[in-house]
Amino acid sequence: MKFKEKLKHPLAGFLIFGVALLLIPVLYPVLTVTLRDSLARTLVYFIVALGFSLLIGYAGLASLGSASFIAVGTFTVYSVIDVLHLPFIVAIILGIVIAVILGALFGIVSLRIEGMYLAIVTLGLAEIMTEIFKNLDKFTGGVSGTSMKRIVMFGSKLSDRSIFIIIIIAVVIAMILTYNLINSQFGRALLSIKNNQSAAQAMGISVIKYRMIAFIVSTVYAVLGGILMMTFTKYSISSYWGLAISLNLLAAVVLGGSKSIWGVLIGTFLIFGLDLVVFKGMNLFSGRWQNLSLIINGTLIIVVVMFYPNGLMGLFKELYYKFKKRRVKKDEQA
Amino acid sequence: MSKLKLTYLVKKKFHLKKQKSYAETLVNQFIETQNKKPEEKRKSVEFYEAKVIKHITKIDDKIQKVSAEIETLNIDLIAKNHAEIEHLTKSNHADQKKKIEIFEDFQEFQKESDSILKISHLSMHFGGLKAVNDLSFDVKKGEIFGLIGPNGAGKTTVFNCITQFYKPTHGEVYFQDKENNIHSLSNYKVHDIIDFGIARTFQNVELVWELSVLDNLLVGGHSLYTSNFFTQLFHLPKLRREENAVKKRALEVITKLGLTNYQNAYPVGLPYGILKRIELARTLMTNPSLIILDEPAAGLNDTETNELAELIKVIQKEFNVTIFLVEHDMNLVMGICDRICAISFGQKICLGTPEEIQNDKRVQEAYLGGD
Repeated sequence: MKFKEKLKHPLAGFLIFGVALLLIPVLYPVLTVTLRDSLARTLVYFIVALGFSLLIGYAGLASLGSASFIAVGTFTVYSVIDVLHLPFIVAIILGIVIAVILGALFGIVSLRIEGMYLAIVTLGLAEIMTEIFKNLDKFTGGVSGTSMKRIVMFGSKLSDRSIFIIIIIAVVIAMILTYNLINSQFGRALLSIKNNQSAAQAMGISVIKYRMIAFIVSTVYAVLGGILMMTFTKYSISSYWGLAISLNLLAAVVLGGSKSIWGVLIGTFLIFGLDLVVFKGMNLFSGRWQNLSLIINGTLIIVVVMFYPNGLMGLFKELYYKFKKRRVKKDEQA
Repeated sequence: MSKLKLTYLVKKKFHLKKQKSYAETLVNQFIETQNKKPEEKRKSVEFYEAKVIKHITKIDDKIQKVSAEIETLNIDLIAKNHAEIEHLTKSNHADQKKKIEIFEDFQEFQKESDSILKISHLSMHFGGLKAVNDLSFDVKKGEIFGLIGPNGAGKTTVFNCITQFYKPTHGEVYFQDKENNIHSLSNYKVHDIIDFGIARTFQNVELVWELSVLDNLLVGGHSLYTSNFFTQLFHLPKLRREENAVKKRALEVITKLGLTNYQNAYPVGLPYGILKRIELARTLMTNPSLIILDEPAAGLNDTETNELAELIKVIQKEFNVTIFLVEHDMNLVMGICDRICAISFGQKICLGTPEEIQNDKRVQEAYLGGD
């Protein structure tokens, strides 16, 4: 009984999910290269989306800069390892430092502007960053992008499989940390700021501080995601990290349910996974049906935004309660 | 410069106090858990207490140091003000008269300590509009004080000036905290005000709709936490202990206000009277000495209003707080208020007991119009 109760704890759920994901590296020889690649990408996008869900679901701040933060991560790890010849851990630390600075910079913007306008301003900032990447040839490879050598850790080159395991560990850690943040006064403070700024301030919540932290956390997630992405895919080009990826991340979070970790997972797998894993990775459809996922995603987004503001997770919860109610009623009648 | 340092020190003192109260709750929690165990298994309370008491005395020392610094700074500031005022009286500037009066008010406030809040020549101008114009009154400790006036008289502006949502154009808001220190509130930011012991509600119910009632109260107790971001990120044991302490307080408030049935419900769809009650409960979380209610009876029916009046009285007695409210519902105001201030077009027209207000010609004129 006690064990069963422990299983119901959300943290246990995350761990089980992580263990289930470990099946992928175990089945590595069976999977095609594209499938491995798309699964890894989707998982990294999930980490980024988790940070983004904190920003949009809890703080109510829409940002369209997440893709360029991923780009920052990819170029950071490239320049640290291939240009500066420093160990991998330096890349992570430097990535976090850069993320904190960038997050604070974007956060300052959010103090004055809200909603749609904030999205537009962050979009502008992201475009500026893309231009900067294009011109920093030495660290980003300029217009043609850059590829990276294998990372050396503990004296030996890291194989794809071990990087995949690192990604899975990162996913589980990201889920747990996000859960922790949501379920402490930080998450509640963000929600109350989103609900009403003045009421939040009257309760002693500093709007500046919490918005800044929210931006910084989401930026750190994105940059670390970028680092993982680069270590796995080993290629990055600045023009790829444009508006499309940012919008897809936004769509993933909104589609799945911005206030639920599992919802974000569903969202990312629908937006990125459906396209990368199912349509491109498994080669189920070829030719003209290859981009079918775009149509499916589009209709899903429209339906969810119109009818289920809490995302698919909200829909599932609703259905669950309806089912439960019906069962209780039946029990009462019987 | 010294003003900035003063605000910094005062905030530091609040933080230290919170740490102290956290340490104290730790002791209490420890003793409670030990008492539940059978006697043989109990750890020695003395040992633990000795350890924590050392910690607490350390914090106490720090607090004393900070308060001593604050005092010297305050004395400096007052001396500076004295000099400035003397200079002003010599030069005999007409527009500086108010400054002198404000300072006199402050000195008066220091001498007599039965007031909790003193509003001194408060003016708030929005461009050409004088929403509040040279308003002065004080709220006595432990009373229910009402602020009334026709629509657009500037009542909510007064509230916003007290809680520093607006920085007053002229004038000062002085507040006396539980330790009889007087603070000029306009030196502080909005989110610092709650630390002094001032909690407020809003005209419309401003609950967090995505959170349960209990969690809403925890949001109300936000300023009680001392754990920093990383404690929250990794859910260190400190956070759990602190959360337990705040939760305990929340449950106490919930039972006292009769909200036990709604504890785990979400506020969406609850009756308006209950929502108002939850908001009141939320203000009580930080154990304030002054509660500011902005139109508590707005949108309530008669029975709900009567219940609310009872509730406000109960809160004032049980939690030993001063209540300062703005209200349009005259039955409520006349029924529960000890003293009432009537304002019109940002200016005070009358201050007194409900009977005096009812019989005042100017108030009648302001509400019903003159001949």
